[in-house]
Amino acid sequence: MTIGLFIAGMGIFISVVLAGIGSAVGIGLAGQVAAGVMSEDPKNFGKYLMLIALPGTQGIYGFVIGFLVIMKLGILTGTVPSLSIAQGLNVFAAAAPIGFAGLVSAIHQGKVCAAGIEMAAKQPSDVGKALVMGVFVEFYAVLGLLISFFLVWFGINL
Amino acid sequence: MMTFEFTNDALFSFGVGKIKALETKMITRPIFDQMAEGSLESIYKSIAEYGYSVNLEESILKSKKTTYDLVTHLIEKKERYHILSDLYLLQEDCYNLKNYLKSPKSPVLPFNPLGKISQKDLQEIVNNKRYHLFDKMDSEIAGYYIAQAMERSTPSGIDQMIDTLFLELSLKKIRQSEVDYLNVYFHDYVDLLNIENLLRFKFMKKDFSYFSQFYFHCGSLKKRFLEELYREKIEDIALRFRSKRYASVLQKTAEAWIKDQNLNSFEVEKDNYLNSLARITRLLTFGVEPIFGYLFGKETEYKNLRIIINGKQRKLSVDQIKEMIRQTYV
Repeated sequence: MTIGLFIAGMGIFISVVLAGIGSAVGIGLAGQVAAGVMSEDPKNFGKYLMLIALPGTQGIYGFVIGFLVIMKLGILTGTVPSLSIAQGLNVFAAAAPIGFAGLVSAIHQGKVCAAGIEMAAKQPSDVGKALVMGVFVEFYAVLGLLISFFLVWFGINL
Repeated sequence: MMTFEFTNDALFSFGVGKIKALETKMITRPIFDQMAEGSLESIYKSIAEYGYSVNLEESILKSKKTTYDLVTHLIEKKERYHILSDLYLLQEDCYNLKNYLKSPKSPVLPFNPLGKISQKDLQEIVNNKRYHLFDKMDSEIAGYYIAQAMERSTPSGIDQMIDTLFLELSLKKIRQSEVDYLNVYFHDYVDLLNIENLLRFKFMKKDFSYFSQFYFHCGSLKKRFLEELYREKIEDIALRFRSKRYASVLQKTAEAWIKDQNLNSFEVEKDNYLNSLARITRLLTFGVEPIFGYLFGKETEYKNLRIIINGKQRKLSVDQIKEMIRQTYV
């Protein structure tokens, strides 16, 4: 394995793992609050479901970018490419935005969703407002996804 | 002024979620006002919806037990907070201790089963000086104040010594737990107790030396400062607390004093200020504070229920009862 390929692999690792960690933490926060609320009020599970699931999207975005990089490198076809350090760094830089944006945004989105669930526990009709606030945070994860997507799709020339 | 930070600990997310759902089942101020306007029968009907029965004290006892068990369960994830749930028991133990010290042979009030010290141990503590049964870690402090209370022997002297014991032990436990919020809450509480005594004895035209016997030294107000205040007019005393968090309590009391030479509003304003501190925790999403805020909120609920039912039984007017109702947590 070349150093270039190792660096590219680190890019895949960062996009998938960091975004995944962010989503796990975010869902964990929202999920625990929802479990607490539902221990007293189990009938509103459906209302809280979207708020619990929302921080999970960053993990999916990270996975999509990681998968795109793997396809672009042709690893699935069985031919392991030989990459220079510059090419490796190129792949790393393309995959990194969703990794970092996903990590930070998912954790904060988890907090927003947790607060939203607490708000909805008191006023169930306001669950839509809580969801909108969560979606605002999602916007920045989507920006990270778009940048990574364009860089991987158009910026990697092997 | 003491500043504080919230713990913001995500470890208690489940607990905070549960508390937020439970808050919806608490009695709100408009409901209390409605109760004050209704008859005793309609009050009993209303409180039944919130789990209280005609035998109010019995149902409060049940509710306290449930709340204590819940709080203990919710904070058990972090060991240094465990001592905080003991505060709740300590309060009940001190109540029993006061009652026993005042009349050891035939206590006027029934033994409160919520504390962690049994009736037998209580007798051992007082009669055989086995103070470690009161508090293993701080048996010296407990011993000192219990002995002082026995020496004073008057009901007010016993109350003062046992209250001091409660506050000293509470503040020690709170410092160990490193929950800033509770530290601030208890310091302000002690300060307000000192100010309340100061105003009361000043109104009764007692000497400062008399007040000194009732001074709680674990607060942030020094005795020398209070001695200076003792010589000032009540309306001027309020100005000396302008920079304090609880300035509004003194300001409103001074206004009421100027209006009708009455200090009764202090107690209500003091409770309302402490409730406003508890209400802050309702705005937090994480941390251990909302769990304690709920605990304080439940205590206010019990107090308001007692005010309304006692007020109705004593045939007080609706306005008189409404004036006494404390600001609610929800």
